[in-house]
Amino acid sequence: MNSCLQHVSCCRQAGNYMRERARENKDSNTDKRITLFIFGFILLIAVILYKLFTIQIIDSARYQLAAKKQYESKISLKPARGLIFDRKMNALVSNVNSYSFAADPNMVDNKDSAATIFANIFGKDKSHYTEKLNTKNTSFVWLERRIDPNFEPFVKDLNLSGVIKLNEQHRIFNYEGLGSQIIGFTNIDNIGLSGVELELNEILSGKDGYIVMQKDGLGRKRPAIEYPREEPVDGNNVILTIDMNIQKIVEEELSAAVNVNSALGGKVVVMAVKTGEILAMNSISLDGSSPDKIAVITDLYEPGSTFKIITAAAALEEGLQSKTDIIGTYGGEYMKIRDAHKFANMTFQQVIEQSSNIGIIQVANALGKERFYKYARDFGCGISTGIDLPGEMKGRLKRPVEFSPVSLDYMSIGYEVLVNALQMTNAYACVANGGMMMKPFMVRRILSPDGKVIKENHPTEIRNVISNTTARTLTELLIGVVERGTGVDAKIDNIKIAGKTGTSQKLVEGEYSKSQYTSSFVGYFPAENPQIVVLVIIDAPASGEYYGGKVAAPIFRNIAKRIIDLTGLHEYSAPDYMASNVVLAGNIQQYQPLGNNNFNLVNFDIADAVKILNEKEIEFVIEGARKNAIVVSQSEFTDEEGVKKIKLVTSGGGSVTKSVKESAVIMPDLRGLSLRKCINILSSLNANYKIDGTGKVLAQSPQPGANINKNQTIIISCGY
Amino acid sequence: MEAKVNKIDLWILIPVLVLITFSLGVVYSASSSWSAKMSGDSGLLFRNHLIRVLIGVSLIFLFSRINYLHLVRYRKLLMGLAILLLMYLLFAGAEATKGAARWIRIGGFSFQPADFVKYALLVNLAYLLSKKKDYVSNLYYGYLPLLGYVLIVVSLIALQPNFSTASVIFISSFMLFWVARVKVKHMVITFISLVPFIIFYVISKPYIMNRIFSFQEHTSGGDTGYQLSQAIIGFGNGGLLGVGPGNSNQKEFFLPQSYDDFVFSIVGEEYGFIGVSLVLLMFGIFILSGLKLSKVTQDDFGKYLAFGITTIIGLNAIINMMVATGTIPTTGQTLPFISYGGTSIIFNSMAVGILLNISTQRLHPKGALWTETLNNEVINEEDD
Repeated sequence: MNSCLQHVSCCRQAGNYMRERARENKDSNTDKRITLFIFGFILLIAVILYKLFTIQIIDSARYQLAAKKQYESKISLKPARGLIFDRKMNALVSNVNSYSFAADPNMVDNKDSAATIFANIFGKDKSHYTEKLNTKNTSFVWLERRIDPNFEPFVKDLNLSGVIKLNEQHRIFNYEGLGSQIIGFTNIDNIGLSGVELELNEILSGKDGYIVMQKDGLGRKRPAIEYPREEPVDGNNVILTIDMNIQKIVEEELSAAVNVNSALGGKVVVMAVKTGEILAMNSISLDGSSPDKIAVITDLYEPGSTFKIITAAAALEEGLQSKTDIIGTYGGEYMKIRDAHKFANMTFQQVIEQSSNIGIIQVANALGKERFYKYARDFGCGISTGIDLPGEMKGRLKRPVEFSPVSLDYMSIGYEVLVNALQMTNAYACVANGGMMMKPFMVRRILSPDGKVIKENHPTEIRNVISNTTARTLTELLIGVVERGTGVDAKIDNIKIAGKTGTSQKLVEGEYSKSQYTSSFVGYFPAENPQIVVLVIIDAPASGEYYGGKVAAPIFRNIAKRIIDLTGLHEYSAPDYMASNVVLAGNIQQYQPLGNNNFNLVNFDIADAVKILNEKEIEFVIEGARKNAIVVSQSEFTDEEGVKKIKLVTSGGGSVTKSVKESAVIMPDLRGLSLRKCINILSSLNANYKIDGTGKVLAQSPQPGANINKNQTIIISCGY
Repeated sequence: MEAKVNKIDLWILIPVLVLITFSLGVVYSASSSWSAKMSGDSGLLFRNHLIRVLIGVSLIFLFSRINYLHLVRYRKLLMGLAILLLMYLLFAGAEATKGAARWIRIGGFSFQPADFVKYALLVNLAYLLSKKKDYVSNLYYGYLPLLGYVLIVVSLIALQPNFSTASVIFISSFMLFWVARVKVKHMVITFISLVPFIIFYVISKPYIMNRIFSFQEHTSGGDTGYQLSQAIIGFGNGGLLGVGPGNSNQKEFFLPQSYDDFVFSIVGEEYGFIGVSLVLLMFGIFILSGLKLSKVTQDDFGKYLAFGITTIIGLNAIINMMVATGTIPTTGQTLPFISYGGTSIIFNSMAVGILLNISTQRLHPKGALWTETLNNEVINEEDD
């Protein structure tokens, strides 16, 4: 039993032993497997480490760039476009702030609701916005630009994720668009399209700046004033040779004349004889061409009789003719050419005064085509005047070898030759200026935004075309035209006018029309010491009269009279007409650095600006909207209690930038002027005025040189 | 029989404390903007996290003082509670987040049962494996009961649906099975027979396909693709040295879940390659020490428990980091000890405490405490 038990126990012991051995084997097996997991985990950690090494070390630069791109948004700061002034520093244009909306399609949370909101406000189709908001591969699309100020109340509190509100400037003309044709237009991106705006676009546009804003993942901007910032450089200001008052006269008279004559159009150029400065210039074209086309330099015409001055000048200069020489005029009929007057013979003076075609042809034939060509060319035919405006057509002057047997005849009376109105004006200015041709120009000065002169254009002599004596003789002949000849309708009391009429048949479909004429008059005054030359062209007058002497001469007279009434003519004789201490009215100073707080909040959202100022514990005042507005200017001032504060001006939309308009008009010195002249000037300033008494102006308020506020009434006291 | 008591394994404790401490700075930075956006209080999420960290650290020390063998006694209770909670999630007032019911809100705490369930399951598996040690290769008495536990838990979690957590629990369970020498044949057959179910499951849950798809594209297609590309930008932006503590830009709403699932990217951005390497080193030390502890632990229950805890935490960490670096498709795993992980930090801390307690008893003769526990259900821990 015992042994049996012993045996059992022994067996059990052996069994236990076996089991223990097996267990130990199993245990070591388990431990081996755990060791395997240790290596497994090490391997996995190594994989992660390798992956991180690739991302963080090898490709780091790429991801940092991607990060920067999404954290920062660069917002370009638009400079203020330079202003354009007339010669007396009246700003002819202003910049106006208005709101625009753009979106970053990637950042717009709810495109559908954003589109609905915009569609409701602006009354457009929802799909119009949905399409824009779904633009791929861009972070910027315009939704609405330069919104109508009427919409502003509705968008004031608009705050959608991914939708950006921008303050944009755009150009407006002052003085009801006075001079707009020469000044030209800009597109929605403030780029010049025509006129001076196009010609001097680079000078006017300035340089974009930028601010870097931090963005968060919800597309919200976080202002960061310590971020790099590049200030925009405002455009330069351009001062034209144009005289706003004369321009107004020209525009009024031309428009009236085109109306009265039922004409297809018309052109007027007013130029300072001694300097070549364009004082005023305008054209009207009712033939469907663009209104901003500067037809004075882009349209070519056959000048007709006004061209005879060139034939006459050549003959006089060459000594072939004198005023009193008798010329056979064949009773007014010679070959195919007819004169209005049937004389057998005329003096050279009469030929000019009565504008005898036959007489001039005789003279031209005596001259010969080579000499005729030389003078025509010297007077600028077929050569660009070099005016600083875009699009000038230089016209066409045939070379002698190209002349047909009748070319000389026709050219001598202003056919078979194409000129622009400015070339013709300049030819007369040359005669008026004693034979010295000046280069016409429009831009007097270019001033930097802070008023420094960057460029000054001086009168430039081109060439001496004829001698002083010849010029004087020609002026005498031209005085005769106005005194007793075809141009009597241009006559003005008390002042001598020298001028010439022109009536040319228009070339319509390759044939000279019997019903469409170009009627012109070009003249200068005062004839004794010429200062101003005026050219008037009426295109296809259709209400009866078509002779230049009947159609254009009276317009010339009206314009000349009003110019003479306006101001003393002496001011156009000297090149340095401008006072040296000119105050630049349109200087838009957006930012003055602030002593210790040298930071700039311009173009920040007002809410961000307020946040920053609060953080810095700087006292401030806000002028303009306090919500959803953009800071347009920042300045420092000291209040009554002597506390330094910052003043922020915000865009209310539609407001004129920094009251350019108000400061643009400067009160002229009216004292001593006749009441008529005074009213003429005040009306051209578009000012409200009140006049006490009659006679000459004795006193005025405001004082000369002061800025005239738009709503201000000017008070004039008159007496004897 | 006298129990041998060793000192706490500092190689386990120190990396965990380093990671938890580190998490305070990281979560503070990563959560402030989101917190401000959600509640208007930028410190709210951080304060929640801080409370949990404090509770967690206390639990580490508390559990390191409690004999882990007590778990044996409560194992059925734990399992019952786990199944109850999972059922509750499925059928009762569960709060749906991220398209799946994974959370239970108790008071101010949101409670993710999976954090608890995986440990409850582990305790049971470790016990069964040690008890069935000798016949674990037997299909009916050994393998199938074990598999039963696993399948019940995994399928309940998969039905939430939470595919990634279910897979992780399944995989870590099978890792434990393999270590405990369950027959490989059984496991392979199980896996093969599960394949049709997995395929059916994946097809019925389009988000899983999306994640895999967006992972392959690796670009900003869909939310998960966006999240991943933002996570990688964060790492890249950090470079070698990082942008500095608190200076992350990605947390400014570029990177969703910057303070929980993708917190590792914020670590990479703020502390650079150096920072993430240190985090990896800490996890490496923890995993190595945990597995080494498992190796040297004489008691089988302790051995398996130590292995299970280490692999659960280690796998979670590895998977989270691999997801954040775009190595594997996106899953919803938090980074242990570092993420603002709600309750995960609490249960992970308990698990670490248990691990530390195992380390104090690692050299007990095999089976000694085992018998004692079963027979007396009393353990004198301090008995030297």
